[in-house]
Formats: sequence, C-alpha cells, structure tokens
Amino acid sequence: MALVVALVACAAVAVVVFPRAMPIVALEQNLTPALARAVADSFAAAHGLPRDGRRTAVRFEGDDDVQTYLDFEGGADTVRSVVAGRDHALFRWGVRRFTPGDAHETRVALAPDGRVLGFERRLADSTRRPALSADSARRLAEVVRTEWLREGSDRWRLAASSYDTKAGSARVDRTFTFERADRRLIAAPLRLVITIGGDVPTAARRTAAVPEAFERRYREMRSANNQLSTIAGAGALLLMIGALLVLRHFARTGEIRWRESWIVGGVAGLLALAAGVNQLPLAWFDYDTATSAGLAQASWVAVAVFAGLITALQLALTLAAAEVVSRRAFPQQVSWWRWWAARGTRQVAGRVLTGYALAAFGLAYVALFYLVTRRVFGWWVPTELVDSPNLMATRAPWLAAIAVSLEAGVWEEALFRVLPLSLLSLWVGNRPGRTRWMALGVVVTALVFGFAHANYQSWPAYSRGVEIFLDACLWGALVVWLGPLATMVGHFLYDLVLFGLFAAAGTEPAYRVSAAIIALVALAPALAVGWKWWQQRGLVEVSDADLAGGMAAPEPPPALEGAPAISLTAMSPRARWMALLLGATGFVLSVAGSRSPTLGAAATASRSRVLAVADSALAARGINLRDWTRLARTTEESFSEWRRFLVEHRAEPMAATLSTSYKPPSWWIVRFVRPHGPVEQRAEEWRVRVLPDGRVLDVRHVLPDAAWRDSVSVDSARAAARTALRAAGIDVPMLMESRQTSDRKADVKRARQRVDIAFTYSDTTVHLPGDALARVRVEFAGSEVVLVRRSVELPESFRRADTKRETKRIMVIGGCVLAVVLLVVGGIFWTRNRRAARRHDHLFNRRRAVVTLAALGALQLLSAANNWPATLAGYDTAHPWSRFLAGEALQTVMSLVLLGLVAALWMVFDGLRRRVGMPLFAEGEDSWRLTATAGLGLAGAQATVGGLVALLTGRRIPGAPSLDSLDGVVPQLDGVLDLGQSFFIGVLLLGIVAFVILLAARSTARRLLLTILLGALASVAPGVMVQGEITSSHPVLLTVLAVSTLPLAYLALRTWAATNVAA
Amino acid sequence: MIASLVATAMHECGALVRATTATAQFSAIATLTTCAGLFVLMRRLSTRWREASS
Repeated sequence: MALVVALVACAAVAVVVFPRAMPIVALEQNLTPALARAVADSFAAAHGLPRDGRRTAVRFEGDDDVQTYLDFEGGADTVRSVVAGRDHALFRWGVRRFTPGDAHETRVALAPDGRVLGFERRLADSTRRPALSADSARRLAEVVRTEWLREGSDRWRLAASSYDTKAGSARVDRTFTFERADRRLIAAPLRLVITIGGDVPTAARRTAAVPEAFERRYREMRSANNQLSTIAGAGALLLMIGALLVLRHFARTGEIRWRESWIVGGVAGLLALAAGVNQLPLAWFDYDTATSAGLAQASWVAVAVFAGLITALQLALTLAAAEVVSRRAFPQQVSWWRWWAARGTRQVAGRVLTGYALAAFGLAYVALFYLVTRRVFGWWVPTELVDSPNLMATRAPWLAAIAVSLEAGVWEEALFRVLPLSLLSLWVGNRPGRTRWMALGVVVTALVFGFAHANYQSWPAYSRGVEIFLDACLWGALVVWLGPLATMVGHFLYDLVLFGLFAAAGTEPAYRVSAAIIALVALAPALAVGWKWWQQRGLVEVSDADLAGGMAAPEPPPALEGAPAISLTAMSPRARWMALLLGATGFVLSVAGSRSPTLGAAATASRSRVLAVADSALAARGINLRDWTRLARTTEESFSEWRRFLVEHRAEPMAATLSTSYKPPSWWIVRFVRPHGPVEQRAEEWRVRVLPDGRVLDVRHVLPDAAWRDSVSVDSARAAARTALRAAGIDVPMLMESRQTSDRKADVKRARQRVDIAFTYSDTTVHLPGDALARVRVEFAGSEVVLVRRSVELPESFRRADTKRETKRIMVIGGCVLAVVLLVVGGIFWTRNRRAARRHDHLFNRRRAVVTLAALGALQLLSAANNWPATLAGYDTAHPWSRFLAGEALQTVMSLVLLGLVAALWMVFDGLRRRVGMPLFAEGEDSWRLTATAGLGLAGAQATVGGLVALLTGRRIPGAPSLDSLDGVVPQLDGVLDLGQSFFIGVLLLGIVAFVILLAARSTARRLLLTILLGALASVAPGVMVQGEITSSHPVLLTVLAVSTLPLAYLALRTWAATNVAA
Repeated sequence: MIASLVATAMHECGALVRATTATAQFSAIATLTTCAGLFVLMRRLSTRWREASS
C-alpha cells in the first residue's frame, strides 16, 4: 500500500514539476509530411522549379547549432521567442524531389507554419545556361528575395557577393549574401544567401551565422563532457571484458542458460531491426543520387540488420554472464527465467510494483533535480522539442521507443549493476564488513553508470553524471536487496516514458494510437501480474523451485566425437627438399626483386630537417618562433580517386608530372600552435606543408574570425593575390580566374565584420583530360594573404560515376569479408560442440601468460610512445592542452584492450589445435631442425607466391613513398615495435582458419574444396580494391596465384603438422 | 610461427638490400635482429615445452 501511495505521489510530482523543470519548446505545427509536400509542390509550380523527380522525400529538421547558441547565450526563453517569431526558423521541413542517378533535383525548405524559407534547384555542373551580368543577376536575386520569399528590401542589405565558373559548361553561378540590417540573433547575423545559376535562380538559403568564438568555446566545454564519459567508458569496457571472462569460466561447467539469454537477446535484436527498418524511408532525404537506389536501400537494410545483430549479441552475452553470477551470488532471489511462471507470487508482484514506483520516483527526482540545479546553481540542459514529426511520419512511430527502452532497461541493468555487484558479492562472501564492501560496490558502479552518460549535452560537464549517479545508487542498492526485476522494470518504464513523450505532443489520431500502444506496453508487466492475481484470486508465496538457488544442477555435457580429425604422417625426405627449395626460391625472390618506384618527392628529409625547413619558412614571414609550439606529422593521401581518374583517361604520366605541385601523394605537416592560451587565442596557428624531400609546399595562416584585418576591395585583393602568386613561384599570366568568394566573419566583441576574399584560378598550362582542372587558390583574411594552395579539381560527372562504382565495390568487398568471417566463426562454434580435444598440452601456465601479455603490452606502450609526436600533431586547438594530453594518454592505455583480443585469439587457436590433435612444437630429438625446415618451406611458399605476383604485376601509377615510420621519435624502431602483435595476430588468424577446415571437413578433397572457397572469397577484397590500378600481361596466372594463396598456406600447414609428429 | 618469423626476415632482407637511406637500413637491421631474437626464444620455448610434456 505504501508503495502505491509513493507511486501516485511521485507520478503527481513528476507531472506537475517536469514541464517547469525542463526547458521544453512548444511548436505551432501547421504541416504534416503530406501538407509539406503539397506546399513545396505549389511553390515549385509557381516559380518554374522542376517537379519531374521520380521520388519525393520529406524530413523535419532542427537547426541544432543555432539552437545551442541561443540556448547557451540567451537561455530557454530566447529559444522560445525565436521559435515563436518569424526571424529565423529553428525547425523546418525539407521537401526533396529527385530521380536516382540524376544530378538534377529540387529542394524546398518550409517553416512549421507553412512559410517557404528557401529552395534549391540543383543543376549539374555540365548544365549550360546563358550568362547574366553581375548587376542583372543581383536584380534577379532581389526579385527572388522580395517576390518569391516575401522579404522586403528595407530590412536587408547586400553583405557579400561571389561567383563561380563551372567546369565543363563555363556556366557562371553568382551568389549574393543579404544580411538583416535591423535584427540579429544575439550576435549572430541573419543572412539570406541567394544563388543565380546562369540566368535562373538556383538556391535561396537562410542562415544565422553563429560566431566562431562561441563555437570554439562550446567545443572546449564539450571536450570536458566527452572526457568524463570516456573515463567512465573505460569502466564499462572493463565490465564487458568481465562478462566475457565470466562466460569463459562458467562455460566449462555447463551452468550458463544460453537458450533463455538468446531468446531475450533475439527479441531485443528483432525489435531494434524492426525500428531501424521502420525509419528507412527517412534515409531518402540524405540519399546520394550518384549511387544506385537499389544498392542504397540494400546498405540501409544491412545497417539495420547489423544493428539488430549487435543488439542481440551484446544483450544475450551480457544476460548470460550476469544471470549465472547473480544465481550464484543471490540464490534466495527468484530465478530470472521463472519470473513469468512466478508472476502470481507475492515476491514477483512486489518487485514489479516496485519497478513502477521506481520509474515514477525517477521522473519526479529528475524533475526536482533540474528544477533546483537550474534555478539555484544555473546548470544548463538544452531545450527540447517534445514532438518528433519524423517519427510520426513512419508506419510505427512507437516502435523505436519500445525497442530502445527494452534494450537499455535490460542490458544496462545487467551490465552496470547485476554483473559487478554479483561478482563483488561472490568475492566478499561472508567476510567481515560485507555491508561496507557492497555499499562501495554500489557507489563505484553508480559512478561508472552515471558518468558514462556525461557526454550528453549539459553543463557543468559533471551535471548529468551527478544526476544519474544519485539515482543509480538507489538502483544499485535495490539490485542487491531485491534482485534485478524491480530495476529492470523501473528502467524500462522510465526510458519508455521519456522516449515516448512525443506521442503526447499531438491530438491527431496517429498520436493517440501511438500513445495508446506505448501506454499498453508500459502497463504490460502490471497486466501480466494483475491477470494472474485475478485468476488465482490472490497472490501466493514463491516456491523453492522458482528460486535461483533451486535450479536443477547442470547436466554434464554430452560426450563429443573423438574420431581423429586429421591423420598425421611423417614428412618425407622429398617434402623436406621441397621445403628447402621453396625457402631458397622465396629468399631469392624477396632479395632480388627490384625496388618499386615511388611517386613524387623521395622520402629523403629527416624529421629534424623538415622541422628546420618549416622554421625557416615562418622566420621568413617575420614570425617569432619562440611564441609557438611546434607539432609535426606525416600525411599520405589515399589518392585512389585521382588514380582511377587518370587510369580511366589513360593519362597515368600526369600523376608524376603533378606530384610535387598540384597533387602530391604524401607530405609533412608542421603546425605552429599556442596550446597554453585561452580558447580564443588558441584558434590562431600556422601550418607548413613540406614535401618528403624537404621542399616547402605551402604555408597557411589560420586566423580566428575575431582577429581584425583591414578590409580591402575585390580589385585590391586581386592585385595582392597576383603578388602572392608570384612570390609562391607560380606563373601568373597563365592563370585564369574562375571563382571569387567573399565571406564576412563576425567579431562579436567589437561588433564588426572582417571580409575574407578568396580567388580560385585555373592553370592553363596544365592540360588535364575530362574537364579536370589544375586549380590555384588564394585566400585572404581581410588584407592578409593566408594561403596560396594548388590542387586538382575533378569533374562532377567523373566524381558521380566513381561514387557509384565505389559503392558497388564496397558492397562486394563487405559481403565477401562478412561471408569469410561468418564461415570461420560458424566453423569455430560448430567444431567446438562436435569435436573433443585430442591433446591436453598447454604452452601457457598463468605465469607465462602474464609475462607474455605484459611483454606485448610493454611493446604496445613503447610503440605508442614512439608515435607520440604524431599523436600530438592531431591536437584540436578548441580543447585545452592538458585535457587533450590526458585524453590521448587514456586512449593509449585503453588500447591495451587489444591484448585481450590477442589472448582470445590464442585461446581459440589453441583450443582448435588441441581438437585437431596437433602438438604445438615438434616432439623428438631432432625436432627443432625439422620444424625450422618446415617453417622455411612455408615462409618460402608465401614469399614465392608474393614474389611471383609482384613479377607478374605492375602498378599503373607508382605508390606514395611511405612516410609512416618517420613519425616516430626513433624511426628505426618502428618495424620492431609493431612486430610483436602483427606476428602473433597474423599467425593466429591463419592457424584458426586452417584448423577450422581440418575439423569441419573429413576428406582431403572436401578440405581442399573448402580452402579454395575461402581462398576465393578472401581474395575478392584485395582484388576488387586494386581493380584498374594494376596491370598484368598474365591476368589468368595472376588470378590463379591470388586464389591459391590460402590453399597453398593450408597445404604447407598440413606439412608442418606432419613434421611435428614425424620427429 | 617459425614460418611467420622467417617470412618477416625474408621481407626485411629485401628491404635492407633496397634501402636508400640510413634510417631504412637501420630499421631493417633492427627488425632482422628482433626476428633472430624471437627465433631463439621460440627454440627455448619448444625445448621447455618438450621437457614439460615428456
């Protein structure tokens, strides 16, 4: 009774306080997706915008950046007043009409009240249109503003104008940026950017230009949230590793209840899959028309299936681990898998009721928490729109809320509370101070759970963590006291209410139906108990058979097949000679192979030389180097798009021609930053790009928007650009100006705007095929030239066709890799349950395992330390330096989890080996010599195949010189430090595949068939990746060699096994 | 495992022959030396394993 009173009281508090405590935004919504489509259509018809697209996509969107700015700088009331006003639409509907495969499309943006905010008529770059003069285009833009968008001329002034000459068609697109003279959103100027493509309006877009100073300050704040979350994430990772160790431990005793765990995981996975599929239609809004529509849909479905599988897997594994330790630790609690059967008992009914009370208490608590902390301490949480029009546009709006709540309610309770607290309880046992130990456990798990949520938008960074920590302490105590049923029900209901609130935002039938379904699901646990209660005419006591400790003892696992999986024979003298011969051939081919040529500047400059060159480049600009901290790393561009373009146009020699100017494949980047100043000051930096041979490529001065530089006219800037180009050694008369942009950067403190002009030229001396252009870009910040950079611009037609081909390739590669992984993993599980171990020898005892892992860990840390300079060069100047260092150090330590992967692979490898019956090392007197011979043969086979492949192929375009190792403090150690793990992981992966084949198939013919199938699948990925990039005069021989790599490795391993026995 | 070490050693021999800078030469020599060290370690391990198995 007391629980019912508490439940009602908490629910009442939550209903009354919640809307006052949380910054909620109400929106006057006049549109539905169908109405938005109709309004957009009539706008397009009225203004001659194309409406012939075969598909339409509608989506509701929020302007998150502007909302955060208004929220933080002005508060929730400012957000509400902007939402209620007409100056800037924080929420908008987007309507897109397009045809898959066609670059042309039409988009219209609408305000929730039905006003047209803007539009886009996308033209292909190759579409020709008559040219308009700058004045005519401006007049047309003003017509668009005043007549199309109903924005009167008195409030808007022209702030900037730009033009762009499109490659392939020479169409000139002119862009005019108008700015509201009478209104800003705090300090953010309101802009309307109108583009005239040739002689037709092609775009009108409204923006509120959030000051860069705020964006940087906000990113700095967010880095604190993220860091707290990462630290807690390390705790969560440890819990997941703990779950796997628990599973490994109890798998031997047969105590794990896999079936039930998989059923729950499967249901959650199916719900997640259904929720993903339900939202697929929304994905059309972001669909790239360059890709095939069928492939795009297949990839979205694949992502949804993958998400469902991951949900099922993580939930099933965590549940299985948490349940088995909970059963051991708390045998007096009702068994998890008897909750349903025992729903008519006083114990289960009480816990379900407690769950409802807990959810109501949680909602009341969170409302009161933010009411107090926001008003008294000024803590911040973002404003939220309760409505979710995108969800409402789907067939089953309620599905996502149910799926997410179920997964969170069950998985998070099992992982963050049940598993660690049960393990702690087992460890503490009945030793003195048990209560204190358990209390400490509750606090620590609540800290991990609470601060794992710290990356949500909130300020101070710890606010969200504190809120959830306090609640989680109660939940943890309840798990220890009552078992997890109450908290699982409470967590599920709490999340369901929050995620399902959107259903209360409207009164239309769709909202009502969603609300009814969500309410029914929320009531389901109570209805299940209530129905049983009514049937029994009361509640009964739980029987011993329903208790966790009353479960039947595990049945002994069935005897596995002990038939030999492999018949081991001695290695014949001929096989030994073959091994030696292969070793010699492989060695000769490895050593005698000619040095493959590299593209562009050779990697002849050392790190110190590169730094000295960069120093000189800045000193020449009069920069005092003592004010700056220098960071440097190498960069290699993937270059693949450029390669494919040149191969398609048979213009491979251009790669070498432009490799030290317009298209370098690799370079050093030396940054000069000031990491110790305030966030505004840290925005300024210098970046010097240096070629691998020590020549300076270009220098960039990154200036914050607030740094003042005098404004210059476009003509003055044009003259200054020519001077800068000459200084950079570029032949100015041969350049043709093809693009000029102007951008205004706001200095919030002084309420003035710097005008940044940029020019893009085409180099008429470089003749590229297929409308590609060699570009030179000169950027100004006010009167200062901040960058002169050369690059290549590929034509839109090629980029679209290439995207289409690449998407197809990625799908093929992904499918093949997935097939190999599924076959091998499936094979591991299949053989595990069907083949008995035939040997019981172990290499690693506990001490040796710890020493090996420690050695690998030390190597990994040394490797990270060696690469530390490159890690530092990835510094984001919006983050405080010390926080960045701490974050990187934490990530380095967390990467030691990889050792767990090595250990897991070893366990799988060794388990399979013992099932095959293969000794780890050769047995007998002369064994080492024979092992070495067999190893030489296997390595020789690999090197021979590799050498032959290299002989048969030539790259159409040489690769970039590898600069990776130069990043290290001691570059010479790069290979050594990475050797440990690559050696282990490579061997283990190959061994696992071979053992699975040996165990799964019984005859040599079947084994070879399986090997060839896996070999063919495995060779598809690298084959497709280099498609078009390599040449060969013997393509058939090359394909046979590529496909036969895995079968050869298998045969060689088979020989190795025989050797071990023979000795 | 032996094969993996031998394969790495073969690859590094090729890298040493083709190295054009002192850094690349040192790097190849260091990796070859480590391979040799690991080879000796594997041999010791195999001896210990045989002793423990017998």
